[in-house]
Formats: sequence, structure tokens, C-alpha cells
Amino acid sequence: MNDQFNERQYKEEVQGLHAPKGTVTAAMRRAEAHVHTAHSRLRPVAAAAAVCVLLGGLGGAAYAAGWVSELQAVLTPATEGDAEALASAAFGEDGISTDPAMMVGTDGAIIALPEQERVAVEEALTDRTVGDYVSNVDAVVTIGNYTYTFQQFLLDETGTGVLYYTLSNPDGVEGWTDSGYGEIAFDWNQGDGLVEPVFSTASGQMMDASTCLLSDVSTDTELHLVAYLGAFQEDGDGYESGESILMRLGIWQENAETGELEQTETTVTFTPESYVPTVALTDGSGNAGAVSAVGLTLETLDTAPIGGIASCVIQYADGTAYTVDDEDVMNWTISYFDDDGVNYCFNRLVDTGEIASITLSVKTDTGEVVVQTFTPAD
Amino acid sequence: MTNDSFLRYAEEYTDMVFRLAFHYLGTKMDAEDVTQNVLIKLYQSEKSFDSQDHVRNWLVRVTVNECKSLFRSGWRHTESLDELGEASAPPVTLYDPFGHGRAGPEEGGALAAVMRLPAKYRMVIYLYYYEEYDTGEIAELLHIPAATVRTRLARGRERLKQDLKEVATE
Repeated sequence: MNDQFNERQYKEEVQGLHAPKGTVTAAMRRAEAHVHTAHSRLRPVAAAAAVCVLLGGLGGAAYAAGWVSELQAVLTPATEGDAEALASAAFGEDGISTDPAMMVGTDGAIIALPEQERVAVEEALTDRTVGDYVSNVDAVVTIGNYTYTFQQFLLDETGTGVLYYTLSNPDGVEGWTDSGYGEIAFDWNQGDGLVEPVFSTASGQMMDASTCLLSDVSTDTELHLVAYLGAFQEDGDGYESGESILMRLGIWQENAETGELEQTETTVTFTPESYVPTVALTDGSGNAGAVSAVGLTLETLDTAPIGGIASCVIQYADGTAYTVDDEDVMNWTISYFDDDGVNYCFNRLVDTGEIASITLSVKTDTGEVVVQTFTPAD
Repeated sequence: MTNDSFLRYAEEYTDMVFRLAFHYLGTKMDAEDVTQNVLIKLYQSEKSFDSQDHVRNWLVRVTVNECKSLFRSGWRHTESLDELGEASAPPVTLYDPFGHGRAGPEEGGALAAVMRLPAKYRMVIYLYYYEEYDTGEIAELLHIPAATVRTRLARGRERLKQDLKEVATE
């Protein structure tokens, strides 16, 4: 029995994949005619694939057939208990796994991946940092046999935050896999089944997102999920305060009449009613940053392109430290870097009032390590 | 960009763009759309490339961004089950890379197994094993940390092993 991935066979088969004849010519003609691809193949949702959407406080509203349905989630300030529940789920130590994957190199040696540590979250820390900014979410979306029930939402002024929701199906939630460090991946584009949720800002910038499983409270029929979000990617203008966050949900299902797979979508809009405050940072050389209880963004030096991050450490006034990132640990949930800077969403709450400094060590593409130290700006 | 330069780059890299888009999106028709869009961007680009690696890396980044745009737009293709030639083919084998109407893990081999993985695993597997980028380079291209690349490679291989084990026992 051969259960090993055959790299040679894979390469041979990929080599058999070719762009259709005429692709280059067609592209040149369109380029010369200044015609862009029209993504306009509208595909109606079959009447059989009904989407039922309930708006909290407004009773039920059912949408049967149509293109894409939209829902504006209702956000209200969370109670102290709900805020502590969110903080414990997203930034505590009990619910989300920290197990890294083990990788075997070509020589058979096991390559250890960075470790991750989550820590217990104190109620006092929650109250001090995020308690006033957590929102309860009143929105339920049902697509096919799946129901998304949104619980709490939290966002800082840079667009970094979390969304807690449950995903249930009485027949079992399928089509997902453990990706390591508690993260799950949906097997989208594999035929029928759930599409991985996509987050974006209202202005159209795609957001980084990582969905993690609360394994201590999840069951086969109901997953408790925390989506960590960040408006990090370079293809947009970042996040503007006041901007809504969009979450696109979808499912592919076979039309019983035509046998074709069709996608049903719903976009849920979250409009923040409060933000976790950020503290401005500076490295004293004109490079700025911002840190909140949930995330960090730092501008890097205007040197050679970044080859990678050597380390990022938050030093507290009491002498303790939080190693966000280095060669051996990965104490973050999402991260992004490019030639302009570095972004993180933390895996624990940070008391910004106790930060003494943040040290960032960046590897340039020449192998040099450049260190920056950020402190709260006056 | 001159026509000569464009044609030279297109000849060298069109298949790479198509294969990358196919791994991301999973259907030939979507991959064709993205490939054309990427080539148009290349044609209209005023960028001067310092080396073959420079243009190759630029094309990878643009392809990934175009795939994301297509996915975000919601206008994506499905390929009819009938096109597979086997009416009983399960949706999981929707793609048909060789155009032979073949489907199913027992026939598609290694590529079929990879295409059954979530897209985030397919991408790193393609860039690592076929394009032979190292994990640091993939991290830069996809703008994700190198640790994430390694995690996805490891998890992708685990999933492949489980998948191939199940196929072998069917």
C-alpha cells in the first residue's frame, strides 16, 4: 500500500497542465483594446437553495432564491460577563490548541516548528483593556443545513480584532481540517460544501483572517470558532475608523434538477460601535507604530527589503516580557510583513499602559539583522 | 513593455501562471481568466525587471492577487459534472486537468490528491515542490510568515498521507 506523496509523479502531472492555446494572443488583444475581464457571469441561485436570514430584534426574514443576500448585524455593548467570555475564549489558554505540526525533512529528520504558548487571562486585565469595547452580535445566518450564530465582536482602531461565532449542522459540521496551532481550514472549492469565510473592509480591502476552534466546547454538530482579523494586506489602504467589516459566507450545493453545483452566498456586515484604543509608538527615527490590547503594527526602517522577522518582543515596565515572535515561538494568530512594516494579532491580551518598549529585529535580504526599539509616543 | 519582451516573458511563464491559478482556484476556466488578466497586467506594466527571478516573483505575486480578486468578486465558475465524462464522478473531483474526462483519486494520482486539499495547502505545496521555492521565499511571495509556510506544508503532507491511505484501502 502506497500512502506516501509521490513528488515525482506530482511534478510530472503538473507538467501536463498547460494554459489553453491562444491565451497569450487573447491577452495581448485585450490589453491593446484596454478591455478587462468582465467578471459578470451572473449565476442565479436555484430556488431550491433557499437562504433563511433572521435579523435580531426584527423578527424573521426569509430569502428564497436570488444572487447574494446581505445582512447587517446588530451590535450592542456586551455585558461584563460576555466580554470576559470572549476574552477567555480568544485570548485565554484553555480553548484553542497550541499544538504545532511536526514536519519531516527529506533526510527523514523531524523538523520542529515554533512553539506557541497561550496564557490565562485575568478578569481584571479584561476589564482594563477590552471590557468596554466588546460588542454582542445579534445575527443568525442559515445556509443549507448550516447555521452561523454570531456571538461577540471586538476591533481596534487599526482593524485588528476577533469575531466569535458558532457554526452548527444537525447532521454534523463537515469539510474542515485542523491546520495546526488551533487553526482550521475549510475545504472550499472541493465540490459541495462550505466555502471558507472571506473578510474584507467596506472599501474592498481583503483582510487577513485565521479561524480557530475552541475544542473544549465544540461538538460534531456545533463548532465554536474564533476568527482573528487584521486589515494587513498591501492591496488596499488599510482600515479607516468607522468602516464596516464584511464577512462573506457561502456554500456549494448540487442543484437537484440540473445536477450543477451552485453557490449560495450571504454577506454579513459588522459596523463597529466602539474600538479598542491604540497607543501610538515611535522608534525615535521617524518610524511609527501602534499597539492595542489585541494587535500591533510597526513601520520598519527604509533599508533593504525585509528577508524575515528575527524577533518581536514587548517589554513591560515590571521587567516581564511577551515574546510575540522569534525563531522558536509563534505567539500570534495572524501576521503580515512587507517592505513597509510588520503587523500582528496577538494570542493574548496586552496591557498597553504597562508597555515600556517593543523591540523588533528584522532580517534584511543581505542577512543583516536590524533592530528597532519602539516606545510610546508622547 | 515592448512586444518582444512581453512575448519572451509570456512564453516562459504563462504555464506557471496558469498552474498557480489552477492550484488556487481549482477550475481550469477560472485559471484561464486569471492567466489572461495577469498577462494583461504584464503587457501594460511599465516595470523594468532586473532578472528572471524578479519577473518570476512579480508574476507569482500578481497571480495570487488576481486569484484573490476573482474569489472576492464571487463570479466564479463551476464545471458541470457532465463535462467530466463520468456522471457518477463525485464533486470532489470536479477538475479535469488532462481533459480526458477522468476523475477520481484512483486515477488522478498525486495531483488529484493535492487538489483535494484546501487551497492554502495547495499553494505552498505547488510553490515548494514544483516551482522549488524555499519556505522563506514562499513566505515573501505570499506575504505570510515562514512558520506559517512550514505549518501548511506539514499539514498538507499529513492530509495527503491520510488521503492516499484511504484511497489505497478502497
